[in-house]
Amino acid sequence: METDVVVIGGGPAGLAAAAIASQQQVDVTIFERARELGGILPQCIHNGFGNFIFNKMLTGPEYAQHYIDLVKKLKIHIKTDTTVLKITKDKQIIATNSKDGLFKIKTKSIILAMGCRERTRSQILLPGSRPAGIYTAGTTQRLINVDGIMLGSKIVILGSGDVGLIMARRFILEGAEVKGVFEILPHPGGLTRNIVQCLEDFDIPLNLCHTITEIHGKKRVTGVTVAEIDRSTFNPKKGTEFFIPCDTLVIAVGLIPENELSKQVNISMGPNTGGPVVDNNMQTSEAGVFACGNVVHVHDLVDDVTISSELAGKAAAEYVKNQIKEGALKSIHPGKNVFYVVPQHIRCDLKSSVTLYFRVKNIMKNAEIKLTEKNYIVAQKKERIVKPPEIVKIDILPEEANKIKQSVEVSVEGELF
Amino acid sequence: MITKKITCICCPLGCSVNVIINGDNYQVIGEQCKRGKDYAIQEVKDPRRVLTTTVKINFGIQKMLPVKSKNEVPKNLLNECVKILSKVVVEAPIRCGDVVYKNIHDTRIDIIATRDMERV
Repeated sequence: METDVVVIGGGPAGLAAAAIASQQQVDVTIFERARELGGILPQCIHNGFGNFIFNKMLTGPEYAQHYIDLVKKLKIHIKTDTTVLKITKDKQIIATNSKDGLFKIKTKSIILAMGCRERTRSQILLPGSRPAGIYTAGTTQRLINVDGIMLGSKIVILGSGDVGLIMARRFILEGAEVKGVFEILPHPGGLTRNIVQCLEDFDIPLNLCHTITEIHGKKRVTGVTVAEIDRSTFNPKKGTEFFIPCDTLVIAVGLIPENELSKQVNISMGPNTGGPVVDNNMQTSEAGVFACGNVVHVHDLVDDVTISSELAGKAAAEYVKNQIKEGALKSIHPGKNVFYVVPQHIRCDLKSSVTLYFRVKNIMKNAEIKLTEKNYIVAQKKERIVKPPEIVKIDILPEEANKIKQSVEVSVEGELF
Repeated sequence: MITKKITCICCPLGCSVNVIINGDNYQVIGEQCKRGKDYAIQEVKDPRRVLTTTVKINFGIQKMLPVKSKNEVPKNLLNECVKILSKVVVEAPIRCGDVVYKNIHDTRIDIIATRDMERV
């Protein structure tokens, strides 16, 4: 079997990349390990998707439906229920499903769009026994919204990431009692609109600088011990512990890009993103291998996933047709108060502007964002506020990008909030 | 005279806004833009939300069908609306946008499907 572009993952990133690639008249094949296309979106039944791309607030399933319909209209091969086991340097894909068994497909280009998965209890070293009733937030979302299974009646949520906040509201609407959300950091992990519409609307307490120090229960969770955190050591403060009875603990402590396949071909990985290093075409360190969506870095908004995935899809098709422009590679580094920046490289000889996406380390007011090479300012802008959970963007004009000699640095200065 | 505190969600700034209610008169304090002012008054006068939940579906490839209210419903009716919808059962196939429940809680707002669901 042969194809031009293999897209691994049929979520929002894979769908957008596949659609654009196919529109450039190349042969595209999507591999999706789940039964349906759409990735995480079908279980995200709440609204708030598509504000930038469609200029309206869609629900997750509606957003997915748009791209599923688009992909089905194009001549794209779709293999659902199919798991990719291996990718090789000479661009062979080894995959398996119960119909075809184990099979190999040769391709000219690969788009990595595997998304991310949830950080688990063991990854945050949460002590205590191992009873039933402990779930990651995304698992509760899937079980409640897709499978129609209610999981408990007294809920405690650890972590204030967006999925956890959204599930707090969902549990209330489904008749459960949410005892509280506990966040180890001094600021919430999720978007402000979710703090307001998911917690404040339903009077759910948010406890910052708190964590769970023990899980109780033998067969089923019976409660958790919560303690206040020392802000400098991140250890629990003695004497602040208290017990909360509950039957369900929801863990919402972040997402990790899923890059086991990317690592098989020794692609360079970004230090703070957890995903491949990419250039402005979303090309990885391996020629012809592109990456997009949450496999590159965890996004806040699906709109940004779609935009960057369309870049990957377009570039993959150009690579197949030998049309990709290989200008000199310039690097972009995170500077003061910047945790990471994507893309990490740009290829010069650009015709259109490039958007850089970056995450800040601290909350800052009246922030001045600068992109500099030594003393030369390549781009700058001001933001009234920047926050770690909300991605910040800055555009580089092509004429400025083409002036970059070696590398530029993104830095943010402002008043600490 | 009552003062209500609202967190504005129009942009990432998340301004803390106070609305002083004096009969039919609303005075907004702490907002930094026009959108924030309008939002705060709307939140105090008549807070509304798009309701999103699921209903049971028979013969579908999944057990639950995601649905939403076509327009925003009053915030204080969210729980009642969810209770009504928990008793609704539909049958596949369904198209995204199909009405699954008309005029929920006499709000003149319909509940619609938010995805296609094929029949097994």
